[in-house]
Amino acid sequence: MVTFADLSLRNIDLDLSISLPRLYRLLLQHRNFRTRPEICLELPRNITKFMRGWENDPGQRGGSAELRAGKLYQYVMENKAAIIPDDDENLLAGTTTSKPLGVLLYPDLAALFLWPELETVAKRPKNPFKISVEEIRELNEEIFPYWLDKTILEVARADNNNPRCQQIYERIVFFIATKPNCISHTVPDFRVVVERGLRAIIEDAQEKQRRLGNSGRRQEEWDFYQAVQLSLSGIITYAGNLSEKAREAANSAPTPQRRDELREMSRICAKVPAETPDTLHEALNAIWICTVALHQENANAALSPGRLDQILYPFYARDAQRGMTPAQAAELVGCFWLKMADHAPMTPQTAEQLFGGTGSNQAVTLGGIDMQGRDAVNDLTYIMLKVTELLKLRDPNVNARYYPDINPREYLDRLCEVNINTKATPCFHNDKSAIEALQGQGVSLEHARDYAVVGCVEPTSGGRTFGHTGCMLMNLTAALEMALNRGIHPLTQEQGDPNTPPAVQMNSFQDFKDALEAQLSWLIDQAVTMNNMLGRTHQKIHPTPMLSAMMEGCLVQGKDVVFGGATYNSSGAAMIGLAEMVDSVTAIEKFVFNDGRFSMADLLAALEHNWEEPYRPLRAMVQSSSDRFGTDSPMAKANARWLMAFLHETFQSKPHYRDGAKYTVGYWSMTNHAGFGKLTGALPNGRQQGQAFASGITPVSGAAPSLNACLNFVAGLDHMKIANGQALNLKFPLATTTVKRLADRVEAYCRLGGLQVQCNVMTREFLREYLENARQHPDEHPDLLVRVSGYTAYFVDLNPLMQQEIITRTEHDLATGLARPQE
Amino acid sequence: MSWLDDLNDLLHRPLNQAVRELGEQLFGNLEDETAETFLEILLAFMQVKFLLDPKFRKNIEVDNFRASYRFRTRDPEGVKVLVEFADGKMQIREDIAAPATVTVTFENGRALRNFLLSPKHDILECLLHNEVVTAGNLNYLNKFAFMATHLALEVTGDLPRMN
Repeated sequence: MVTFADLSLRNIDLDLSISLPRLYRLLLQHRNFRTRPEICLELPRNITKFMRGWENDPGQRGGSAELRAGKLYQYVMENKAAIIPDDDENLLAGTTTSKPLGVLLYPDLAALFLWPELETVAKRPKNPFKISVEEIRELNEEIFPYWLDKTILEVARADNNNPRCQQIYERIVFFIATKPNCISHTVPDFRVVVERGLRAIIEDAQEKQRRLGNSGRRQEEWDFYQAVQLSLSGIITYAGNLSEKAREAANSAPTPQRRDELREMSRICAKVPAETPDTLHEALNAIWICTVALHQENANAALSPGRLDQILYPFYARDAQRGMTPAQAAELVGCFWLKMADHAPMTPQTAEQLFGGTGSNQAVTLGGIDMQGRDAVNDLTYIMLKVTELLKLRDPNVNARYYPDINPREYLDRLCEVNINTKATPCFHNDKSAIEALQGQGVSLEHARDYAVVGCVEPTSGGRTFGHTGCMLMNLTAALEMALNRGIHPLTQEQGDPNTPPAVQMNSFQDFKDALEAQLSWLIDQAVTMNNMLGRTHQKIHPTPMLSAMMEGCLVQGKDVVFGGATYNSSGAAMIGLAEMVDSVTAIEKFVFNDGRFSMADLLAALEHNWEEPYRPLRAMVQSSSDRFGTDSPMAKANARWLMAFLHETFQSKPHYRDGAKYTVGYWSMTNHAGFGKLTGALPNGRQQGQAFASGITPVSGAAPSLNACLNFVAGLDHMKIANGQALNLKFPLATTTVKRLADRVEAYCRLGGLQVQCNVMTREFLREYLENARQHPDEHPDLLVRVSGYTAYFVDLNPLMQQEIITRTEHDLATGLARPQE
Repeated sequence: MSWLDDLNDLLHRPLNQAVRELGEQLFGNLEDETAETFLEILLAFMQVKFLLDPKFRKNIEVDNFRASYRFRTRDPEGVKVLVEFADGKMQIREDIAAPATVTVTFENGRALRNFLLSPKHDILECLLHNEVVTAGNLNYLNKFAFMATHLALEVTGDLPRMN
């Protein structure tokens, strides 16, 4: 329910009326820490200590993986330091790490990739991490050696005899698999945390365990329920420790106000998340403590809190009746937003080149409709938008749902206003299309209406779906390069499908499409086999009882999420290089097979010469073609539909390691369109070797001169075949971007069926000037938020390739709908 | 640091200085070295360090470290070296058929150096030029890369210091 007369909440500000001075100070503090995250050893130390003890205890060895995981995370949570920093005024208790801005290391997952850089990571030019000499020694001598043969990736390799799919994966250029690092690309069920509390979940698990009896016939279920009880009791212990610490801190608080705040914090942590919260403050802290716990279980790559404006609204509404002001609620929400930004992902140098500058991509979903199909926008939606507008943080990644004709237009206007003011957030999801896409995957209408966004842009039924929506990111153009090269990848010389003829022997466009389909099938096979193998390895050594306790279905089925316990199961793949693929396929159809403007041999020679002389005229011809992704071209549209249908159907047909689950396809790229682009040769669409690809489902820069045509093109793609989400990146100059113009475009795009769109409101000149400023005054420039491909990032943190990609993105003038000329 | 460590440092200081000088000579002008030379120098220096530097030796003493690394150039007539670690010792042998924990196939010395030595290491560049291919357990390779990088940093005086 919306009661505000002023949806922009103009009376709430950080620095004008100083109505939120705490947030202002916390933000400054965050910016200060942000410049240098610190590696934290608490988690790897505790995990390693536990595992060494477990292995040396004959009574423990041989127990199930579930039971071991339960004991492990109970140990981790019970031994996690309860920290209430003296200089931190945040109203919420709980820290992801023991550092002010910590980098978590998961030795059982991917931390060992940082090993070569331990002594240099503090000095690397981009995104350095602080680490002490003693911490380096401890990691090198005590922690990492234990895990040499025990990480997900290496257990998978050993169990499967270094399979071909893993060798292909390690060439990087084909696909990225993320299960070596985590399975956390999902939305936990925080509703159960605030509506029932952990104690009730533990009692549930006890009861189900009791009903199983002691027959031992269903030992795995019994162990799962035991693991849930153990790990959740660990979370409650941690909350108790926070309570005690806050109580102690209150005794030495610098001011009476802070003393009262700390006493309140202590009271809250003694209550939640064990019991059900009664207030917004309690509910937020309950969710945050559970989030901290989930961060110990899996690397936070897009562990997303979901529809917080819906989950928390009853608490806010009750508080508001008791006299809570919007500013007070905003302060609490802001504290939560800043807590979500209390850690940074571990990125080794290579990943830095591919993913550089990414945060944890924790998506918060706002607005949209409720399970009954009614307008769900409420006062808390606007408060959360206000906080987003004021803080301009990289995390959380704010995603706004919009259902034309059900959500009011003034809500869309407000979303656009925030987008303009922050320059980059929130992004827009069209409820109608997203709900239909989820229903197409077997999600019930009610549950589809309750979707929440994961990570970048992926819709899933929040708290019910274990979707690992970012399990793989695939370079589509690798298949194209192989199709033109007898199935051999030109860079790595890996052999794909061996039955592809030489390109010069292809006599028709159909011959070429057959070859491309064969190579795509081969590539998809490799990636799916790899993901299935890694999924089984997680089942073997890395069950996740805490996430499972917070996922609908697991307790009913007595199964961990990694075994398929959730109500809905799927895995999501992100396709990278779509526009280049469509433009390349269309160029081949048009110029080689239809018009005969040049032969396949000419094309191959042009690619070999990277489109340089004597092939520049050919390149100019290809690049000036009006038949490209994002135009009115029927040929390009047909090729896009063919390619996307092929990918969708092929992925959906693949077996899944969780029985009955399906693979879904999405078009978003994080920063990998730059990384994969660097590894890819010249392409038939005129793109030269090493250039970044277009992001997500966005046209190639300069290819879509008309905004209308671009929006029509993308909205016309079959969203039923994009169940894993999409990122359409648009860029508008601030000078001609008004709320009305932006809202009109978004509205029209949604009515045409478009699934998602996100906008950077800035020009290339502005970005260049900003970079120059940042270079000259590295400690003074303010953070600049940009949309990458799905998530938001700080522009200065991105690698140069990615910065350049954003600078050169097409800019459409919202007044005329025309693209500014490319340079 | 305990007084025993201090004493040990004192006793080894001249030796450490000599080893560092040797390293400076060896690592000094590697930019243009051949694959064979770079690997020879790296492995020889590593072996000397393991012999003389108890702190560095700890790298291969902890958790009873056992591993074998095969380094070879793509050219079949080129470099083939097997490095074995066991019982706190390092042995360098000519390549034999026995399976290795990890195999690194590389184009030339520059590629191997870029691959192994942080902060220079640039796996994407190596891939881009198809210069280095690995097979086997990457964690062991990461450990080896740490040790190699440590040596390079020590020689250049760039090791991180106590706060």
